[in-house]
Amino acid sequence: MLKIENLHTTVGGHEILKGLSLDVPAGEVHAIMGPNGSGKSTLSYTVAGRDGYAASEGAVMLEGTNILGLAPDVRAAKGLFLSFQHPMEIPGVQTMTFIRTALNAQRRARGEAEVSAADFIRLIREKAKLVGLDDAKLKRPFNVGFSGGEKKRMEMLQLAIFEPRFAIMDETDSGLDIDALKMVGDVVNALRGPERGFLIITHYQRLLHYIKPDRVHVLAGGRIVKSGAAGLAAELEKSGYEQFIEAA
Amino acid sequence: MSEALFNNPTPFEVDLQAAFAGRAKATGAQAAAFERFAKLGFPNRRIEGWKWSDFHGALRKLTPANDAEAQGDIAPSEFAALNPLEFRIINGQIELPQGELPDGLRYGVVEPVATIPELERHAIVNLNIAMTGKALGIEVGENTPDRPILIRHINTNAAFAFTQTMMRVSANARARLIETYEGEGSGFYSHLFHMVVRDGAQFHRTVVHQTGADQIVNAVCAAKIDADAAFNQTSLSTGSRLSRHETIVHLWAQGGSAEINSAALLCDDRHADFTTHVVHKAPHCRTRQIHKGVARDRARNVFQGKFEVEREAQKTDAKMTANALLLSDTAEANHKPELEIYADDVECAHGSTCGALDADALFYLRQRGLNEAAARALLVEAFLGEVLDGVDDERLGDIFRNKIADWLVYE
Amino acid sequence: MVEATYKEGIDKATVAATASLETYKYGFTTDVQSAKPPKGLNEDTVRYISAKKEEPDWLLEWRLVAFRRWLTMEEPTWAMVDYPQIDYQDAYYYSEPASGAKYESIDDVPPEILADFEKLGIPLREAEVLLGVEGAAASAAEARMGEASNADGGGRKVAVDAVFDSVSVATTFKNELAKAGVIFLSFSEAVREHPDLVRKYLGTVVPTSDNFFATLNSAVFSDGTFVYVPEGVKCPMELSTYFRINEANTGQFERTLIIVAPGAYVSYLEGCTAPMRDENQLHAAVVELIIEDDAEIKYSTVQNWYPGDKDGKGGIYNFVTKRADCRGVNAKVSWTQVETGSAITWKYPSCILRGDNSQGEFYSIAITNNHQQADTGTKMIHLGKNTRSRIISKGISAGKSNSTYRGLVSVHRKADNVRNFTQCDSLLIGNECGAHTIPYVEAKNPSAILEHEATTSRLSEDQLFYCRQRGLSEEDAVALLVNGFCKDVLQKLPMEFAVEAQKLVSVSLEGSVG
Repeated sequence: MLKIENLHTTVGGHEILKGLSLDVPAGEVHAIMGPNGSGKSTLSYTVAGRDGYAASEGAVMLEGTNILGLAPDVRAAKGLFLSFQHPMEIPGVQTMTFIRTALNAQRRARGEAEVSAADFIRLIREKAKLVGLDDAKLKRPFNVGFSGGEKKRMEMLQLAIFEPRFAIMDETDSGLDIDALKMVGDVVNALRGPERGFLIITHYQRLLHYIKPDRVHVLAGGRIVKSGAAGLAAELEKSGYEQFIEAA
Repeated sequence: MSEALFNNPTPFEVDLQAAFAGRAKATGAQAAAFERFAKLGFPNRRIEGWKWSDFHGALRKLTPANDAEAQGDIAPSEFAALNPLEFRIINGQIELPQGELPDGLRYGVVEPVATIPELERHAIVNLNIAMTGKALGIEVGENTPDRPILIRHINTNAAFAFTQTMMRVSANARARLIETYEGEGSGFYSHLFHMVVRDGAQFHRTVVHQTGADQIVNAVCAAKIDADAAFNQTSLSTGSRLSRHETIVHLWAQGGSAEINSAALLCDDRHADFTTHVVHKAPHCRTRQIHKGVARDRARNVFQGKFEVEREAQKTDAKMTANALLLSDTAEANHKPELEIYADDVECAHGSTCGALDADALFYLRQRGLNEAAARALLVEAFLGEVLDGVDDERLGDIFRNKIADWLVYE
Repeated sequence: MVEATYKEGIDKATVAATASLETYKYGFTTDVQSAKPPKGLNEDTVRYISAKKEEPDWLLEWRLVAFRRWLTMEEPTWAMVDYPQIDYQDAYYYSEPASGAKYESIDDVPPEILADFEKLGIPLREAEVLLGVEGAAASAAEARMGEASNADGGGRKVAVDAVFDSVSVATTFKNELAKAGVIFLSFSEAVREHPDLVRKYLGTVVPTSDNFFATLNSAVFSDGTFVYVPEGVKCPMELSTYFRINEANTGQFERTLIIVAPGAYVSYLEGCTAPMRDENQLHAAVVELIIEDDAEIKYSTVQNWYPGDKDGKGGIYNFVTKRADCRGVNAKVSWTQVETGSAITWKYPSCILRGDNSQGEFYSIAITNNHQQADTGTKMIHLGKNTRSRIISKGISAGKSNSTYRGLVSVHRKADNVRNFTQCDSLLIGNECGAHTIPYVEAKNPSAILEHEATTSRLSEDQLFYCRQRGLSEEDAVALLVNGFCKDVLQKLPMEFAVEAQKLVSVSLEGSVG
């Protein structure tokens, strides 16, 4: 599904990713854990195609196609969703308008029919309930004045509406309380299926209590330094990242 | 009238002088105004308040076409959907609407103003007073039905045209005015709008500047707002060779309010100048102002906003925001948000920002699937959002949104 | 009085400002016979000044070019200040103490002048601190004690150059500075001792044709300060110039030129006072700063010229051109000013940010009281890439005064990634004054991020009441709150100045309430 091969990324003159390889087959949820500065956000930006995060070497294969070099929206239309660690505020654009515009842009790019206004309202109301956002928020400018937790719920709302093929969750758990963590777990678990993959990037183990990963990888010094089953997360929690920083 | 009136007259000034001399009957006040104009000359960069809008330079280059008869059929206004009462001022000639007068509304062709004391140092206003023969007069009574008034200023292939509008909104009345500045070809148009909003009345003015690229326009609105009256203005401009819309609001009595919002969407070599001056003369007045300027190519956006709070105007509450968005390396934004305050118990603030589209926001939208053009357009629309929010008529808001969308497609 | 104030609130109290005490404490004159040319301004005046200073021909020629240019210029009128037409022929353009301008050693300085400086709290003989304001003796003692406790001979020292009317009378710590390679001389001495350096840099930041007052200064400047800090040298002490106008009917036109070579650093302070006189006196100074690669200047001013009396009679016209040219990459300049004096202030310390990554800062407190008028601010001219600027301006108006912030932030076409942040806050005390904010923003590069914020308010009655309830007098409460309002700027001042500046803030506002 998402296969990363020998990925190198240089940001602002410093090589951050130094030959990272990773394979998340369809139907699986993988977690990447790592200390601060290990390259976690660089990985998500490189995969999603942010300016300034171009790979100097390697490949990112999404369902067999190398997506490096594609525009971020083209990657999105191919079904790649990035849940941002720090979601944007867009003053002046109503939340509903924004999400519908994005959804239909993706659908158009895939040659699918656009969703009508009526269907969309039905859809967004249903999903908003799922993520715990009340309707009033949907009429407000996108994310403006929302709390950190609400912004993360807004990311989950979009995840639920777009139903992407592959989602990267970049530090989605940061700043969330237990109820919100559970909600994130519910949304992700409901979407888990044989055709979909997830990559959960996190510093702590706590989100992984709600989303059981199939595999856990340790990112340190720009490379995956260790991979293992779900139990690896608990082990890390106990022993810390120290050993890997040195190893890297 | 002797040649000596002007120092080194430009061809345009020579034409103006000939035109003034050729007028059938100029009053003494008009002759005095012309002399004041001649002494001042067209404003240039060295004049404080005009440093970013050089009328002297632009008019020097104006080639008089004076081909006013070439006026063809005029297409219906896009504001026709609002069923307005439509006035047209075509190359300076006033055309009144036909048919029955709505209740409470009076209008006609009237004598122009002889002087506006606070604008005596405004060269173009002086010229306007000297040159304008007849003015359009409109009076809105208390019980006039809420039907918009549309004034279309159409200046086509005219070397120069001068007009005035005088409008009074009676106590407790409501009036909605839409003004469009239209017309192709090169020319100079000066409009002086003198208006009074009486106690408790509400006045909404919408100004759309959508002329061809070569027009040079200076429109000056001087408004007096009485007690508890409201002046609400929204402007949208796509600019032209040189365009300057000035709004001078005097909040004359307690409880008056002004809301002045403007947006400029500029491309190519277009220029738009919004200059406003709100004078708070009485206690408990409130002003809100938002300006948003978007410029690409070599366009130039100018915003000069001034709040003045006189000694008597305690408890004034005034806020001004000006934001500029530059979409290309050669576009320009010039801001001068000014406060002049003589009363101590007031709350006055202004903020100004200038920058490009936010790269983080752009990436976020691309990640959500919008292509570059759509993402940029959405962000520009979002940037303008606060001005659109100030439009309380939904149909008007839709027309604005469509205009912005049209511009963005071009962007 | 206090009782009435308490009942009727601060507005009422403000009205009573006319009953204020005389607050200007430096209004003595020194009885020194002085030598000066006849009144008036013509080429002969310029030649007289140049001859008096035994200047080289090129400098006389430079002055004459400026003078001829000045004759063609018009006095600017755009500032929000109002004063009667100045008769430039009705003033003296040069004055020096008659006993001879140049003193071989500090022992030759007439005792009257020394006493004068003592009164001002500038003990030249042992100058270790420059204390330009109120309660100098006590403060000086305090400061000295402070130093004694924190250092053994290695404490902070301040070298002082004192300019008395048109001449520099004494410069301290010359030898110690010379050891570090730092040149710190009066302008006249610099012309004699380092003519090539002066010639190389003079007028390169503020050209002779710059503006009416700067051009006038170029023609008739009398003395001033010259500083050169060589490559890589961090000036071992604060440098300071103290200006005083003493003679009646005399203009003061000093010129300051500071050059910091690559990697060098200097912190420079200036202070000024003038005696109380009924007529207005003109002060038109020019300051030029040149900052090379990786160099930095921190320039602080406490301006306390005589502001005129409570009815607006007398006071200095302070028309000053100050400009810094960040020529090198990573150059940095910081202007900090506390403007409390002068009848009229017209002053815009500016930064030309030419070198890539260079930085300009402007921190200002402008306090006007009675009939004072101040139109002051800055210009940040961004020419280089990644240049940054920051403007913090605090304007306080009391009495019948007017205070205006006027500032320009300009971003040129090729200046990528410019940042500016500007904050202008105005405070009105009483209902007869004015506070104005006139920022100009010119952006020609889309990568620039420019932010400007401005607010206008008055002292919070709640806060005042709270302070009064805790036992502060109204004036002390106002001073406290105003100092709080100015804190962002006060803390940018060098330590030696900060304490005095705080006192000055209080003194300047005396009589503004109750």
